[in-house]
Amino acid sequence: MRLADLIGARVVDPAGREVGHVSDVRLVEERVPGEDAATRLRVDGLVVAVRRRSRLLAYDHRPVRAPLPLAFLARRAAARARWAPWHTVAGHLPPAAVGERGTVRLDRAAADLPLLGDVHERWTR
Amino acid sequence: MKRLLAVTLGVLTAIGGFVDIGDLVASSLVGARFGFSLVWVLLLGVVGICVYAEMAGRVAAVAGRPTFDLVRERLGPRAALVNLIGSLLVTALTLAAELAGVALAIELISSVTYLLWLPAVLLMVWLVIWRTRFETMERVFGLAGLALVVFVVAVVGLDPSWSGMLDRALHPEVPGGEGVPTYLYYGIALFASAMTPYEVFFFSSGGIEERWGRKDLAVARANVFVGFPLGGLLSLAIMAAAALLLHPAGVEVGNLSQVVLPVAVPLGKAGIALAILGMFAATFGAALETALSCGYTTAQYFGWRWGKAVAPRAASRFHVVVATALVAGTMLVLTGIDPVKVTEYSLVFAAVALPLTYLPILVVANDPEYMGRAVNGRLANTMGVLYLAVVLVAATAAVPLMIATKAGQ
Repeated sequence: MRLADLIGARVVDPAGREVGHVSDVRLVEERVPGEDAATRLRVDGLVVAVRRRSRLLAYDHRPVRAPLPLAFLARRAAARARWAPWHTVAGHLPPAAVGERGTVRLDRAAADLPLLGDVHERWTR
Repeated sequence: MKRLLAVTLGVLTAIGGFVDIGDLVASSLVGARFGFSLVWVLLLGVVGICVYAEMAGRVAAVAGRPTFDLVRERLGPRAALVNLIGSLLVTALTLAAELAGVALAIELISSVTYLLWLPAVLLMVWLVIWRTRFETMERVFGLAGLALVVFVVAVVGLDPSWSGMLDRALHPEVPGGEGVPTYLYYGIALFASAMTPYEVFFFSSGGIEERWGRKDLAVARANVFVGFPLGGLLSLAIMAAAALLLHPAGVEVGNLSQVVLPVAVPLGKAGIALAILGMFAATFGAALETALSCGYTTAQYFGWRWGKAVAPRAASRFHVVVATALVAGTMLVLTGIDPVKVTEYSLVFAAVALPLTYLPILVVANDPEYMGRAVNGRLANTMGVLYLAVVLVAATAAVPLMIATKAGQ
């Protein structure tokens, strides 16, 4: 599959209700066991944005902690954005045609996913 | 010792490179019409460009990312495209004004109309971009631009009452016969002449051309915190010279020749010659910067290879944009449109476009994933937010004031 199939995809819960869309895909680089120099990329998870219009400044896929007024705006804009670790993804369908959106199905309800704001910390360490 | 020399050379280049057609026209025009009553705006603008360029330079050095790359990443492709078109139009308009400035400087020496010189200017600017190394190009025109120090000498030579000047600068009043909207309109133009978006595109892209790393941060900061304010001093001198001689005589600056006029009183022909040389170098250098900036922004947005460090063949699309901008700018000036008016409009629209690139830089400079420990400190953020408010106010007020005052009439 291509990364482009995931980015922008519709995200639905097990009941088929729309949760939001994929606004970013985070990858982790890790060692291949048994091989010294080789590394591979693993999909860590998806950033699920709730609103289409909150793209401004990419608040909902990158954390903004300072300066204060912008951090306040960012928190409000991304308040409902969620983090879907890859193991919560039950299945994904590529777009039916080029230019259309794919679909990502989760194995749990949106309320059971962590809030994006809570996992930001991990990214910057 | 060698390092000190490099820093000094960099700072001198930044001083000479600070002034462009916008500073020449806005400072002189405002000095002639409003005396010393808008000095505070110039100071506001110079501090503003320091805040903005320091952040953009730090982002370029630490994260290795130029401005427009980040604009696209933060705003998304669609909003960034609108931003790109806006910034490109403003930069191209500024380029047109700079080309006219170079041609007008030659006209002052040769007495042959600037319109006839334009094609030659176009060719010269393009050849320099095509053939010259980035550093050589920056150094030669930056250092030659230092000839504008003649304005400082002229102001000292006029032996003004310093306390009187300071008093009028500290207690600004709208001069009789001028309305408050006109005062504010020219205030915005003057602010934009110091805090121009292209200067930052060029500064940060130039940092990447010169392969800045963390260890070059000190040099970049010296350029910004010493070079820019001293460059601003040149603008201040141009304004003061106009305020001392043109303002009392009621002369309005409608032509570039009037910008150099005040130098003649204390310094005579030699002064005029130096002022014209400085004007030529400043506008020529800025023509290079604006033309390159058109290429930088477009190429960074679309992800093309860009820069003078790579062979033109490897960055062909970048060079096509630069050449197209040069031809378009020349054609605009060849229509016979008033170069001073072109400069004024480019400044006003620059004020409108400024927040679009300022905001993403402010956000990224705070992002530890890019910046590590080099994120904004408390001072950078306080100033950053303060100036966010200032640029937003200027951007919102610019067009309404332009309409209300019929572009400052």
